[in-house]
This record gives sequence, structure tokens and C-alpha cells, in this order.
Amino acid sequence: MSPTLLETKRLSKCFGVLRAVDDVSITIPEGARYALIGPNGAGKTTLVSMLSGALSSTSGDITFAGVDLTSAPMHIRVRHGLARTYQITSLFPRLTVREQVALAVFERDGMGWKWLAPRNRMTAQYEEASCLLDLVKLGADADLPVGGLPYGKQRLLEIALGLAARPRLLLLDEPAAGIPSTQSAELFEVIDALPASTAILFIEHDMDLVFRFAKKIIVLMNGQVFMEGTPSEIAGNASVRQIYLGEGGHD
Amino acid sequence: MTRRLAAAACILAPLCYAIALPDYLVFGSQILVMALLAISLDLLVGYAGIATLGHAAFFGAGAYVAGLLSVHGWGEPLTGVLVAACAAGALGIPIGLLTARSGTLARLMITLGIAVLLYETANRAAGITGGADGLQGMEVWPLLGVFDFDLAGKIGFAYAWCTFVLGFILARFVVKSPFGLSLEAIRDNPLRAAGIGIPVKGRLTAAFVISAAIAGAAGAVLAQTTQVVALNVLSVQLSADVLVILIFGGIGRIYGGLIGAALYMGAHHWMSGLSPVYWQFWLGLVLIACAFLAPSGIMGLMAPRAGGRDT
Repeated sequence: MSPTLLETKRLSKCFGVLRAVDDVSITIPEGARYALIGPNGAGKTTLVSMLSGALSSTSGDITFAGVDLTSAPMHIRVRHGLARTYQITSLFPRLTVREQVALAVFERDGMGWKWLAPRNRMTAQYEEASCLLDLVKLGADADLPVGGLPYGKQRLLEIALGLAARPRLLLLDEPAAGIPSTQSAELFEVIDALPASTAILFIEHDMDLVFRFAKKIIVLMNGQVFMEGTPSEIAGNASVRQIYLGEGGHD
Repeated sequence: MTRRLAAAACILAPLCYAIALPDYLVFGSQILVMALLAISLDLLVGYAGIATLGHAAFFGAGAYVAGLLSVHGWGEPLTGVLVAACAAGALGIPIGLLTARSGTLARLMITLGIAVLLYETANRAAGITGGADGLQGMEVWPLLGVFDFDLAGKIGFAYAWCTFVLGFILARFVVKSPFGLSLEAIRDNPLRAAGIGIPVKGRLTAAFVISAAIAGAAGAVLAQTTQVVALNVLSVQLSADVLVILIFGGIGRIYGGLIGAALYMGAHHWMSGLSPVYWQFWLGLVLIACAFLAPSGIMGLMAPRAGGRDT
């Protein structure tokens, strides 16, 4: 068992009387390939938003690599190595593909405050951006503005942008959302090939992809952890099949 | 390469003006001051995406600081500009902190509110600022201890030009730095910007301080070259004028400030000559026409941006 990277203790989020995330205690080890599944409204995106800092927690703790990040703002979490991508593509449409990946590299290297240094001389960061783009197979599109990129490629760019922070844990919120299933398998091949130094927690609805790429699965139901186990344990569990997979899981 | 040429043209164009229109140097200095003010505003509005209606606050603060310094016995112009820029920059810290955590409408209200507050304060504190009569009795020492500010405005123009060039180059460095890129990212998508590790509020506050300092320097140069500070350096009208200049010239392109200032002030001069009282009627028409015919300003007509890769 690898050492623990992320640990949540009794994490909850209330919207009024609704407990969207209710008492969630999970641990994610270094180098993990975890899937977070559950029916619509189970609280998956809410949980990821709480982990990334986009939403504050009502109660509970988040410890990441030994540091308490429960109330840290998003950019501090990124600096600690906790990055995410978004279910709905969220990029910088007016910058070019390479420029926005380079931007994330600048920030990671602590160069974002350099306000008088010409960035076009910072070749190391631009080269790293190009390498990341090659990794997600976007090398040929590096100089295009993001606005005109096909949606599937924007999804890949989301991942490159997340990776540019060189995260120890990357949270992927439905990375394949909105692209044809033939392409989503390709996209997951790219994700699967990411270095083991990056742990991954992904939300995904396509059970074939989940069972193929996750080493462990966390099932969320009504904001609570319903079950946690290996793909075979989850697939073999009668109540998960009934509650979740039975409800059109293989779509 | 073309961008370097454009930058060089922008820096040299005022010299052509000085050769072509030697009798209008005072007016030329005012254009340069407004251009610098517009460039400082562009850092905020065009690059960082912060809507503001109170940019005159920094300009006026710089003008009054430089004016008061020289009234009270320190007429050295260069240090005066420096002190004025620092004072305006310092004023930018609280305003930046306030606006960085607000939405667009709240930003408009905060910046407008602060500008109005300063205006009325300067109006009320007539004992210090001269109030509505303006700050009189400025004594500006010769530039570098040698060049006296003359009535024809030759030295004043040269001085305004040098300040403009320095401010222009500074702004150009800022927008081409990683810091400048992060401002554009915040403008386009603040949530995602935080998601790649950008401290959004800190960056916006810093942008405010840089912009405010440049605006303050512009105000100081106006005060020193005209040797008077009128209350309208803090007016809402001026805040609106500089915004219009920026829209005319093209937002988010640092060259827009100079082109917009030259056009706007030239049009102002010409139209008010035709019709001294009602000239703003024609300005209104031009504004509406501009919104339809050149929504990205003059720079937008000259160089359409391909996905935002230019400056």
C-alpha cells in the first residue's frame, strides 16, 4: 500500500437543508487510479469542488500530503499539488493553446509575479508546455487560439492544463464529457499513460471506462460513501448493481 | 518584428507632430498626458478586465501631489513625478483590494464612489488644494536643473514625451511578462485562473497599483507642465473621457491609448471650435458610429486580432 496522499475526515457540504456531501471520509494513496462513481446528484462534483477549493466545506477536514488544506484557497491547493479539471470545459478562449499551458507552468515555477521580464525569452517553460501538449497529442495545435479548437481537443487541453501544475493528485471531473465514445477511450488511454507520480481521481459515467482504467472505485450515494473497492468487488456487489448499475449504468 | 515597428512608430509619432505643428506644443503635451493615462487604464480594463469609472482618482492624486510639492518649496520635476506616482500607487492598494473581491457592477460603483469622494474632498479642502479655483502658485524648477519650462511649451512637450515613452515601454513590458499573461487569464476566466494556481486577488491588486502609479505620473506631468491643478483632474468627466479614448483607440492594445487620445482630443479641439457650447452633441454621434463601425476601436480596424495573440 502506497503512503496516503489525500485524506478527508467526515467532510460535509450543506446547501440549506440539503446535505450534498455527507460525512465523507476517504483516503487516496500516492499514484492512485481511483474512480468516483454514483448516480446523478450523488454529490460527486460537489466533493471534487470541495477537494479543489472551489467550494468551502461546511464541516470536516481535508489533509493533503500531511498539510491541512481544509480552508486553503484554490491557488494554494494547486501549489501544494492538488489540481483539477472541469466537467464543462473551462479554458482561456483568447489565448493560444501553448500560451495557456505555459501560463500554468509559469505559475507553478513561481514566475507569475515577474512583471518586467519578457516571457518570450522563458524558453524552458514554453518547451515544457510543448512537451505537455505532445503528451496529450495536441502538439500540432499549439499555436492556435483555444476558441476555435474542436471540443475533443479542448478536453485534452483541460488535462494538459491540469498536468502543467505538476500535480501529485489530479482530479478529473468527467474528462470525457461531451465527446463521442470512440474518442473517450482514446482520451482515457492518454490519462492511463500519465506518469505514476500523478495520482488520479476521476468521475466517469461510462462503466466500461471505469472498470478498464480504475484500480479502485468509490461509490457515492446521496452524498455518502456507499462502498469502496476494487472493480471486481464493485461489480460483484449485488446492492451496487441493483442501485447503480441497474439504473442504466451501461449507457 | 512588425510589433517592434509599431512600437517604434508609436514612440516617434509625437516627434512628427512636434515638427509639423510647432505652434500647438502645449496641446500636444496634453495629448501625450491623456495617452499615458489611457495606457494605464488599458492595463486595468483591457488586460486585467477590471471595469472602472474612477481612473481620474489616481490621475488627480498624482497631479495634486506634484502640485502641492512645488507650491510648498520642492519644485524639482523628476522627483515630483516619482513621489506622485508612488502616492497614486499607494492609493491603488486599498482600491485594488476592494475591487479585486467584487463583481463588475460593484467595481463600477466602488471606483466611481472613490473618485467622487476625492473630488469633493479636494473641493472642500480649499485651504490646501485651492478648491474650485484650482491650485495656484506652483513653482516648477528647471528640468535637470538646466531646461526652464517655457511658455511655448517646448520643454514641456519634450518632458511629456519622455514620460509617455517611459510609461509606454513600462506598460509594454508588463503585458509581455508572465504577470501580464496571468492578468489576461484572469480577465478571460477568473475561476479557472485560480484553478491553475494564480492568486487572483493579489494579481488584480498589483495591476491596480501599477496602473495607478502610471496614471499618477501622467497627472503629475500635466500639473508641472501647466503649472496649475484644476479640480477637474479628479472629475468623473475625465474618468469617462479616458475610457472613451481607450474605446476609440482599441481596448487591450497598448497602442490604442495614443491613437485614441490623438483622435479624441483632436476631434474635441476641432468640434469645440465649430460649436463651443454644443460640441459634445457631435461627439455623441461619433461615439455611436464608432460602436457600430469599429467596435474594437481604431486598432481593431488596423490589425484585427487573431485570437488575442497581439498587444
